[in-house]
Amino acid sequence: MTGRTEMRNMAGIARRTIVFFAAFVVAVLLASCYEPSPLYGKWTDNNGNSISFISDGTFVAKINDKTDTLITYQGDYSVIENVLVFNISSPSASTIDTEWDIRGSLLFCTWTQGGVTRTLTLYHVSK
Amino acid sequence: MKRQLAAVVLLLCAFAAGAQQAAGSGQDADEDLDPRTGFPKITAKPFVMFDEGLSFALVTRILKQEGRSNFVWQDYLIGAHVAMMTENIKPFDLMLRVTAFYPFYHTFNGMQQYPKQTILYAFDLFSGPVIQANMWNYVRINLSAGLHYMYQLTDEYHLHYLGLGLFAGLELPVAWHWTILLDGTAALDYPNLGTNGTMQPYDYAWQYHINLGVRYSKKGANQYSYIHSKRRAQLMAQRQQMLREIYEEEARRKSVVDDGEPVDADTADSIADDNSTPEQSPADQEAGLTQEVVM
Repeated sequence: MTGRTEMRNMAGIARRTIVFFAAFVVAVLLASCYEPSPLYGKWTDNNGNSISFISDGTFVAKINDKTDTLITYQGDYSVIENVLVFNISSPSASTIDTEWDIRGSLLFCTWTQGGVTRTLTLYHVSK
Repeated sequence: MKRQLAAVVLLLCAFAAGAQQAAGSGQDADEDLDPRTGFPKITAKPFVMFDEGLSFALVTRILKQEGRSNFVWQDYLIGAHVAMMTENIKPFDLMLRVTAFYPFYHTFNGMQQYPKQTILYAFDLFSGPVIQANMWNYVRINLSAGLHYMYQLTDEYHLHYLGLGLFAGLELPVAWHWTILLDGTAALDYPNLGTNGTMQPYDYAWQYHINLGVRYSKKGANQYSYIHSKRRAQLMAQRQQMLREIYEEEARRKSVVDDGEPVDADTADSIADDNSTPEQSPADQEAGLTQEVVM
């Protein structure tokens, strides 16, 4: 009788172990499907400058030019370590390279266009 | 001539007899007898067990910066390991684990990085003394602290990490010879022994490993396991019965010689239970019953 109870307990332990492993594997698989990025979302400042980074690798930026007129830029972006590369396709094809840094909810980068470099400090306003 | 030959033969015989006696007395002195049974104590012989399995690792490297966020690189690696662990070596058993990794995901400050080379890899080595906590029969805990080394090929550098690691693991005895091993390692390393040493020396580097493995060992068979084998149980019962009879007979004979009073069956049973790990017989070997070692 004791042996049978022991066998039953062992079977219970084995079942619980298998369930634990299955849950662990499923959790790891689910976690690996999502690719988080600290850049995703909309970043803006109080001068009207804003950059939206989208998860498909594209961006939309509204940046003041030297006459303080907001120009809308579109294209795709890539990150090579501490360098952020904007490949602009609209309004005209060009490339902007800048160092980037995120501290808390602040994004620091520069935007050089038409010989004018703007140092941007942008707030994370939406994800 | 005959006398000389006889003298030489006598001398050789005397020498052989003396040597045999000396060897016999040495053996008696070496033998450690069990005070209860009077039989030689059974000592567990050292042996080596191997296990294999899958590994996952997260490697973090940090380059401190002033006036901006630190540079943080993280590599996620998956691989396979082979480990070797000794058993019955005093005061500590030793383990050696070799792992081959493939890095499948890279980040810099949380941003995914895409490597240029397809074939990137890493090799990891951990070795240290193992302390086994024998708190439970069905879950065994291994703890270790030891030397950690890792080689990693990245797009830019050959990285060599050298440091200290802490190891904690669980052994789950599934069946008589089969054990599942789940363990983790945390290591703090010096990462600037490679080609990055002069151009990009990192300030800190550490890594975590999770390993899931399986062990099949005949010598390190599990005395307790989740899955019981009917055949094994029958063989164990047979062997127990056989031993009980031998010890009953031996105890009865001994008591008659000593006191003239026979020993009761319970005393003989208890002696038989205490000595239920005899030398391995050929029949046991055939049946897969190796000498049991209480772990």
